[in-house]
Amino acid sequence: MKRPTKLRVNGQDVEVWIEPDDLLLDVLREKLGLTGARRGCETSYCGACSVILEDKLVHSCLVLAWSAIGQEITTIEGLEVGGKLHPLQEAFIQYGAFQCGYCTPAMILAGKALLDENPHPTEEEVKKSLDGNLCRCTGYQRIIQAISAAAAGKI
Amino acid sequence: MEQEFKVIGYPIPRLDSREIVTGKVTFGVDVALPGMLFGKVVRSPIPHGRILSIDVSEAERLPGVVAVVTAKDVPGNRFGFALKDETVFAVDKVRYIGDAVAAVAASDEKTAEKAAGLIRVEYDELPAVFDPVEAMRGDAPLVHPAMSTYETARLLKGAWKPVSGSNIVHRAEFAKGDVEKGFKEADLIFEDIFTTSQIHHCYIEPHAVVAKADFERITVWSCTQQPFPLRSCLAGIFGLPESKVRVISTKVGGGFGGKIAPRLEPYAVALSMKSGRPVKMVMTRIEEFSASAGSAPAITTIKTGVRNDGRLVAREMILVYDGGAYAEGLPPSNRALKDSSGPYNIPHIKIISTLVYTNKLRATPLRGLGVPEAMWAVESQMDMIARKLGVDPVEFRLMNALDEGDIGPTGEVVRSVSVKSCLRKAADAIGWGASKDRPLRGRAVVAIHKSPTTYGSMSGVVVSVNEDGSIGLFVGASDIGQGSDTVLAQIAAEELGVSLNEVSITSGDTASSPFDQGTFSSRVTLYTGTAVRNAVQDVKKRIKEIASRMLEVSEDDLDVGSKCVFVAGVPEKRVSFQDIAAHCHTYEGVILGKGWAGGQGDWPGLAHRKGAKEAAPGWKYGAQAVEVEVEPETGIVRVLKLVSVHDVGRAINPLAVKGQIEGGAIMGMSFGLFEELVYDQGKILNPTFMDYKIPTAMEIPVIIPIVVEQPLPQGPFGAKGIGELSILGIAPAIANAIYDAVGVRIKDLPLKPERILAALEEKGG
Amino acid sequence: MIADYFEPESISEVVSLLDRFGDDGCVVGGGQSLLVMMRHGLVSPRYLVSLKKVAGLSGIQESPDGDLTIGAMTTHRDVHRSSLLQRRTPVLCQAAAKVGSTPIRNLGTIAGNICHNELGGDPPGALLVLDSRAVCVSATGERNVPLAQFFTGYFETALRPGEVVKAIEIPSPPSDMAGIYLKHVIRSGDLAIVGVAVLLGLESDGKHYREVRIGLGGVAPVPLRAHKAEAILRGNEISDGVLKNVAEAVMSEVDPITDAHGTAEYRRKMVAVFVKRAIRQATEMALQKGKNS
Repeated sequence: MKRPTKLRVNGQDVEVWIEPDDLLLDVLREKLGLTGARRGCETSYCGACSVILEDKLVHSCLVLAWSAIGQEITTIEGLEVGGKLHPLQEAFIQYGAFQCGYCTPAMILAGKALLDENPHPTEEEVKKSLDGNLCRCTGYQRIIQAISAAAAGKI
Repeated sequence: MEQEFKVIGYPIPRLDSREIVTGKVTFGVDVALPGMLFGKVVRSPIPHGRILSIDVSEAERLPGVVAVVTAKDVPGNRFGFALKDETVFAVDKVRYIGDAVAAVAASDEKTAEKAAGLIRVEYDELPAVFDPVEAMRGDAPLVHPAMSTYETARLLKGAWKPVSGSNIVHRAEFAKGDVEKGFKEADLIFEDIFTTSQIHHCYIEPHAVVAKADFERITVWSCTQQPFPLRSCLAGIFGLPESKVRVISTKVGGGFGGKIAPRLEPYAVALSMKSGRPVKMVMTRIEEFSASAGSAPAITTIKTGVRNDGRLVAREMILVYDGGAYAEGLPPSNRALKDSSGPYNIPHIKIISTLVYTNKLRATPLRGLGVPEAMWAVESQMDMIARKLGVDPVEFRLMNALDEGDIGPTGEVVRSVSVKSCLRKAADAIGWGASKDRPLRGRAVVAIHKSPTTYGSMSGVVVSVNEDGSIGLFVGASDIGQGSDTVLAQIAAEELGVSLNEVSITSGDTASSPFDQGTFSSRVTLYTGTAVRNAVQDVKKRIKEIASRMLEVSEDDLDVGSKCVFVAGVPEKRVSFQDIAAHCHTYEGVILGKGWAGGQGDWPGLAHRKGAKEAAPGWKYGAQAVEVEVEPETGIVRVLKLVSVHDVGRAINPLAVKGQIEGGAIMGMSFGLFEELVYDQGKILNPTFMDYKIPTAMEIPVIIPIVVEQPLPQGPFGAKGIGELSILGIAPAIANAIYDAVGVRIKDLPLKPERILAALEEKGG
Repeated sequence: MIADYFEPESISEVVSLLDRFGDDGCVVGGGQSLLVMMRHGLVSPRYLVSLKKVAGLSGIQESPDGDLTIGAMTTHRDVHRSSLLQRRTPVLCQAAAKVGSTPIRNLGTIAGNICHNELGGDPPGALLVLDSRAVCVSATGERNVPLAQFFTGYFETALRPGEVVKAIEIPSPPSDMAGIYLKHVIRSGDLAIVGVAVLLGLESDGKHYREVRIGLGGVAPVPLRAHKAEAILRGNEISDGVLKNVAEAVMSEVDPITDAHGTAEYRRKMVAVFVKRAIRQATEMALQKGKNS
């Protein structure tokens, strides 16, 4: 049974019709056209679907859309403001921290969730913040460097 | 004296950077067309069996289902990018758990999934064979009884050597010199057997295609690495001229060889034709692991003869590759004939490479094209030999490594060789010879190489000049995430003397560029890059020709730069590209340049040629090193530091090159330590990211990529490419480092903790 | 196909809804296990009853006697970061920190974890050595189930139909005991090949074990206490020799499986390795505590 629902996405209220079993990932992609969050598996291991809920990184394939009502949802599309990229996005570009780009939005959001809470993480803390996100192209080193550089204000 | 470059050689951010970091990229799954349906494949649950009946009636009646197709709905033409041994749907029998028997299109994914579950197939199960050695026996059930009626794709004409009436789909031999003579001359002979497990590409983007087809025209959006071969394949299956088939490569979320062959396109086209609507199909991750394709695991018997002074004399390798149910493993098993013996001076070489059919997930090219399996054996044994001789393993390799002008493994003269300098750099960077900070730590250094594709590897490029003087570059090779679009645009910009943002590149669409074989085998920078350069030089000629008329000056007195053509030495006397284009479009014509390049060898006939010839240019060399720490109580091996040195000829974009090196090296580490598809009677037991292990950021060592540039005269600005190289040597390096740390030698991949533990217990007595 | 969902605000409403829906209804906490099972068709509830808005299910309380109550909906992240638990039950905090990955810990709940009871989960072993109890509520009332009886088989618990875990109670953990949780995995994010929780206390002479509790995960159909091994240590001297006996005992108490992550034989060997390690480390900590007090 579809219900009209108000979600708060990237600082804005949006109205969508959702079913009780709609996953947040599919609502974002199919109903709001926010395709930066992606599906890479069915067992919530790859993390390509990651978004930020309130201040926490979550796998949107494991969040029922209705359970996110009333919470601030941040997707990759919400990071660029007025045409200006977020320092993390700039860092990823500068450090070549992506290749195919499929996991990149998730990685950037993992970095944002970390830095918003812990502005000066150690390298171990950066690695740990990525422990729910897989990448097959880069070998992770540049992703870690990009997040660390953004934290150090080098961007 | 090295010239100064303006565009190439700089770590320029990729052209698609912004769209990637803002999540605005269009992958196959993002393509949406009006009226689009969602398709699912119905797959065999048994490894081998005759199809007795297929009942689709219940599925067809499910509300929301629009079309169901089986073998009777599609032409039975055989296809295959190497050997044409496959039909769209299994016709008489299924050959592995996952073989496609039907497909269904419905209004949404859930309905399609449900409908797929309602299709009832009756099988008469047949005895199956799961082990390649067993499959080679005379009494083994035949996976492809009609093998002798098959044809090869153009790519492998003359190179296919089947053993009729068996499961041996390919057995080929290459010999240089006389190994029997060589073994007699040797003082010591080493004979070992090494094995690898089947691994999966694990691109994070699952296969995604959209097909819009009717009986006259096919358009496919696909994550393919090879738009043109895919076009030929679909045209061939469905009986249409290629001019009526269009393949548009969507952004590829990682390929590594696993998106070369058609995986979903034929079903999507068939469903679209039957339903009259566009059809999208996306693989689930479980489907990817269990029904797409994996690597070709190998059992390698390696026999090496060496003199007491450490010189290699003879090497014989017998590689048995497990091909699975369809023969996409032909290219890797063929490549083994050239590359297997390693980057060494060995007078006598014999390689026998066999590809065997079994009733399992098929093998397909996976980064390295069969060479990682061979390097696993060679570079492991090299250390074993060195230790037995009492020679330092790095010195042993230096003693035997190829040099400029040596006769290489194929009997040809090798040029642009840099093995020794790479070895020295790798040894230096890992701290070879220095004392180790802690016990239970080990180090190793290995040498690697890879041949270029020598034939069946063409790239055509067209260049145009726009009315504002900017450049259009039309390329057939799709960027599969490695950044080829940017690299090719850099080459064009450098050649024409313009800045990078003057170049726009269209790639991977068969409707808008000439033929390109595709993105695989580390070929794009070298071949498509050369084609780009050729095309730009062609356009430069045309521009100069027109400018000479406009300026009334001889062409020989003209130079090109800063988006202008000017009189050499008199820069004020010039005409801009913009002016030339305007002039042309008004009076003369259109400014176009064309170019092509590709591998020019004749590999299938190589063995019969007499006399040493120059090897095809573009052999790639490198060296890798690791430092590991072993935990004897648990068998856990941690890689602490990883060095990967590669001679890339010229790094067109050092940022992209280093990224490739690092990513490939971690893939190599994962191949060495973690990955294996686990089978039980043909069923894959670990088809999820939970149970099939690739590393997270927590597992990675410090990675030190080192770029060596020894320009290749035949490459674009000296570039050779990088692609697959860094996966090749890490697994044997880890095994050698484990030996260095704790004195146990393991010959089977992956180097999982249980194996290490068992080896330590055996050693401990 | 979920027909409808409910977001009750009291536990009595929850159990009343569960009673009404019977087999068609299911609670959802953090959803980190349930949604995976739903995706794979292992469960197909028609009605979901969310615990998110139920009063009193989050939060960690300490009674005047020092007993702890952890609300069912407390996430692994919050368990790990709780300064109260870090002081009183560090072994549980360590276990919570090891669950899955960051996003899973952000939403996954402690009750959800024990109700799912997946082989190789982390909190159960720690909760067992803390002698925890699950407070279970249904339409017919409330009962306390000691965790040692809560786990009944692979993915099976003693929860009855219509029953939901409201909280986990931990009787006041003795402050002189030292606890540690060790997890053996081949790769980050995996379920434990072996998970070992140890909580032990020494005699005042600092040379003998007064109390030893060993909780194991990943090595048997249920998370369990290694009673034989514990008995060997209790009252015994701190020594390497006694650890050898403990290792043998613990290997005989487990019943591991073979799967894609490891063989039964490997798991058995590893349980011995990690029990010894955990006891050594916890002993060190307890000795330190003794010195500091």
